[in-house]
Amino acid sequence: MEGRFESQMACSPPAKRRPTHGPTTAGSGALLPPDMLFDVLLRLPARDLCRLRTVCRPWRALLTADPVFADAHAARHRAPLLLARFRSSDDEDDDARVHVVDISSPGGAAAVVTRVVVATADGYHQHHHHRRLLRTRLDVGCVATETNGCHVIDPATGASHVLYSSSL
Amino acid sequence: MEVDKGKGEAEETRKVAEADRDTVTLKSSDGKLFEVSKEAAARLSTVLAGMIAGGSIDDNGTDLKQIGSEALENVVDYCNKHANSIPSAALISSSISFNTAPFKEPEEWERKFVDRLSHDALFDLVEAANFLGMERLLDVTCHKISEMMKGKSPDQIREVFNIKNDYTKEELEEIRQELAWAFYDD
Repeated sequence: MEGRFESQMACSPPAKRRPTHGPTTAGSGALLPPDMLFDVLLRLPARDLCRLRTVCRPWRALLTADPVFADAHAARHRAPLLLARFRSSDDEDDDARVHVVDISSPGGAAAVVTRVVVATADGYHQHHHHRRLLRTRLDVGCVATETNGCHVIDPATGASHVLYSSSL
Repeated sequence: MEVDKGKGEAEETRKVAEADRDTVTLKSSDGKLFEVSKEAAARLSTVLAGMIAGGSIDDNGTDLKQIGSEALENVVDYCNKHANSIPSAALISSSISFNTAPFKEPEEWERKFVDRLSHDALFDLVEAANFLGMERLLDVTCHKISEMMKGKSPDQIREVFNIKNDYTKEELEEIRQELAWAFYDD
């Protein structure tokens, strides 16, 4: 079994395979060369990928910080991510949250991908102002507050950016 | 392209092929020889197509030092089954791949083909497919592996894929809390 992938045609770095005792040091998949791990993970819906972040650091790096992977995944999973807000009477914090929902999740049921907390620049007023999710472009969302603050949310990354805040 | 030929015809082609040396002989890392249809090999593997076109095929067995006999047997088996199956329109066009194209679902026989493999055999096959530039087989094997990941806990994944958990307990707890929703069953 030695000497695999050492030819000039090797598409992936020589992988040390299948040790007889104990796991290998964390590679990006001891049994799966990185190229193939990329291909495999690309096929999974966003919700599974979030869970897989906790497997090991290299997987998390690929899943959260690799723009090539993010682009390829977005291109393969065309069902749009939706932004939603839910009103809750007993949890005021919920008012500050926007849920990113993946409707391409397995089984057809919509799954919440992440919750974005939209804080105002002045955190003190957080609970006193209602926020409104505005219809915007298809790939970004916009949250407005009564004090004229405005945040833009990217559903793909869950990042929220202050667009405008009257208190600044 | 002979992609449309039926079973009987394929059988006959194979008989003729044997006489005319329309097959290529491949040699695994451990020295075992396998015969595969030249047409199927060239159609399904970019690397073998290149070797056939470049005349670097050895009649006594083309050395594939990177591939063990079990994986090579599966590769050859896949090529032969593929040559004998009537591909759907979807399969024919799958040889052209765009980076953004949605994944093609495996055919029923392809599903069965990978389902019977052990984990080790599957991982060996995915590497062999990658090495030989067999895009369709890579698709089928990667699909199978992704199915294996679905619904599994991180612990189970680490076990199947032999990965060491390199997080500290604190880090893991932090990420888990951040992602609590993803660990709920629904």
